[in-house]
Amino acid sequence: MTLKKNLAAQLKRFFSFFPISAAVSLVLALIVSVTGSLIYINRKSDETDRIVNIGLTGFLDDTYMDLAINSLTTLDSTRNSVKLVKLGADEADRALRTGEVGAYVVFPENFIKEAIDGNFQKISIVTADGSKSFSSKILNELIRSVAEMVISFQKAVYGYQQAVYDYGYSTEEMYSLGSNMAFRIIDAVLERDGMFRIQAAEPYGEGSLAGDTASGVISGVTAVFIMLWGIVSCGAFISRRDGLSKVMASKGNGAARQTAAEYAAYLVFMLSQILILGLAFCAVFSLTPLREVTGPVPFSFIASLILPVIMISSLQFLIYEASGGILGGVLIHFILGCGMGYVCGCFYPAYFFPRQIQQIARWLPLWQARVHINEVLLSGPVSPLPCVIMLLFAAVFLLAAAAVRRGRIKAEGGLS
Amino acid sequence: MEIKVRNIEKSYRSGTGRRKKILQGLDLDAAGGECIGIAGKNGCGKSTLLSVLAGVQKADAGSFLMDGTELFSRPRDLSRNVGLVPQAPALMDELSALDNLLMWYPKRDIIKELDSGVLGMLGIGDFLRTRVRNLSGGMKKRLSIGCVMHTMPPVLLLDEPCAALDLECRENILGYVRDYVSKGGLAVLTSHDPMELEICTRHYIMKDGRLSPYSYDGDVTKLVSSL
Repeated sequence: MTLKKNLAAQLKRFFSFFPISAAVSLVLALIVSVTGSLIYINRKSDETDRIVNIGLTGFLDDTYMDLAINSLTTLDSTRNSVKLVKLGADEADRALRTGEVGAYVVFPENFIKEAIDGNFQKISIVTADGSKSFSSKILNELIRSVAEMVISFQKAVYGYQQAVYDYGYSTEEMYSLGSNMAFRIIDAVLERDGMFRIQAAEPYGEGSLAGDTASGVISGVTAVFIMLWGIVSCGAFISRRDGLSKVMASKGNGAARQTAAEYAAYLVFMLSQILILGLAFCAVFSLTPLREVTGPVPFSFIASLILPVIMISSLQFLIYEASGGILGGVLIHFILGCGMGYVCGCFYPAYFFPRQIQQIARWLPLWQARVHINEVLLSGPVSPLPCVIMLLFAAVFLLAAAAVRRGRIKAEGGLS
Repeated sequence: MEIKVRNIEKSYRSGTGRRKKILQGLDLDAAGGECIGIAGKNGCGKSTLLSVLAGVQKADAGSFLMDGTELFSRPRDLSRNVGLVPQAPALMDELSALDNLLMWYPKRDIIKELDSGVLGMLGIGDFLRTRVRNLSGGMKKRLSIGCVMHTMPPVLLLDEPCAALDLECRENILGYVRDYVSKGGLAVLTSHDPMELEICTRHYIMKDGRLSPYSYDGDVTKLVSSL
């Protein structure tokens, strides 16, 4: 028996489960889309009435800072939908974690003094997830405020010139001081885009559900869904015959080749399932309010699932290879899928877990899968690190599965 | 064609962690056209002997010569020349009989064999498109033999070939074995069943990891007392 023949047989074996799982896929697509739409509609209506709290911390004990904060509040063009709250550094971090503030702004030490001297230090805006929409909202607000302040400065310069003239300074002195101030203002205006930097709070960073972004919810649920989806195929895994494995091994198809053929067949099966499921979701999404979330990128979203599917299907393969029976396999699969999804913030914001758990979770397969899917959903640059880690995970899981198969064949006295 | 099995040894690690010797310096000589029947108590090592001879398990020591060629050191030759029909059929339940055969045979050979060869003789054409999970025990056994015969091996090892089969199925399977032997093949079968032992030309009893010749005359009581 050749590897090719074994692969063909395994493909037929897995695809004998195709009609059932395809039917379940379509039903699931409908259920998830309807549920997702309802959640999305409710969340959206909540957000329209919600005031965004922004924390302010760092160098705040200054009269000019007080004036600036008051100006920002007064100049708030968001019709009182943004509330500024002064906080200490620790308080700001805690408030961000508990959701009391959506972000906080950190003013560097001696910000005003340095600004007067013409040295514009960067203001940090810390958000829970680096959320683009949220950060840009704050950024737009601040830039708008700075522009307003510059206009006020110009008025102040005019007033200053009048005052200097009234107190009898010479024309040269007056122009010299006035030019100096004008240059600083021009610098401030030219530098205003570089005055801010956005950073995500560590360690929950880019993968957490903090901020409740729609893409975060979708990527998390999708990663767990792929993980749990393999349960539909448990019948195909468990029905394999150890006797046949031994015979195949004696005919030159050892544990490694058997694992390769079976995994390749399972992967093709899973990818075809996900493709059908993805198309079903896209079709249903286009008819529901979720189209506002998925936008025009449904196919890139399906493509983004390929790497997670490669990794997760290899983990599923290992689970059933190592488990003794159908009940044990399904139980391990379910507990591992739900547990890992929970810790990795797929169901619940990860920042509610202790810092150590968050740090461990960052190296778990579902975290990597979620980060990757989220990046694609946000249409941002796709980081290579999660992709590499996912491929490494897949290789490790497959090697482990081959080792388990080899051990089982050997335990029954067979060759491997 | 003749085979010489010499000094085969095989041991397993038992549940207590100690090694238990199953085969201890076992010898067997046989030639084409013979049907060797091996009887013995449960767990005496009959199935292990067949697995070792088929290369499914590795012997701790010993040699297996076929016409002077050592087969244990040539896995490819061993695989081609020796076919094993295990007690539990090694088939894929979700696939049809045809798909199982396709794992072993080229497609064109299946058509030929069904028409005028071993697959036709085993009557596999009657259930070719049926999934294995829907086949009866006898059909599965016939299919299992059919899969093994893809290389037309001169040595066929059958582990309790008719266990749990009805009389018609037994006659069907044993009829095929008789035919195989009459054409010059060497069949070695393990059995507790008088009907199976009756078709054998020579008999052995396996005891203490070795084979002892036994003259079977159809007297089951005498056979039982000898085990």
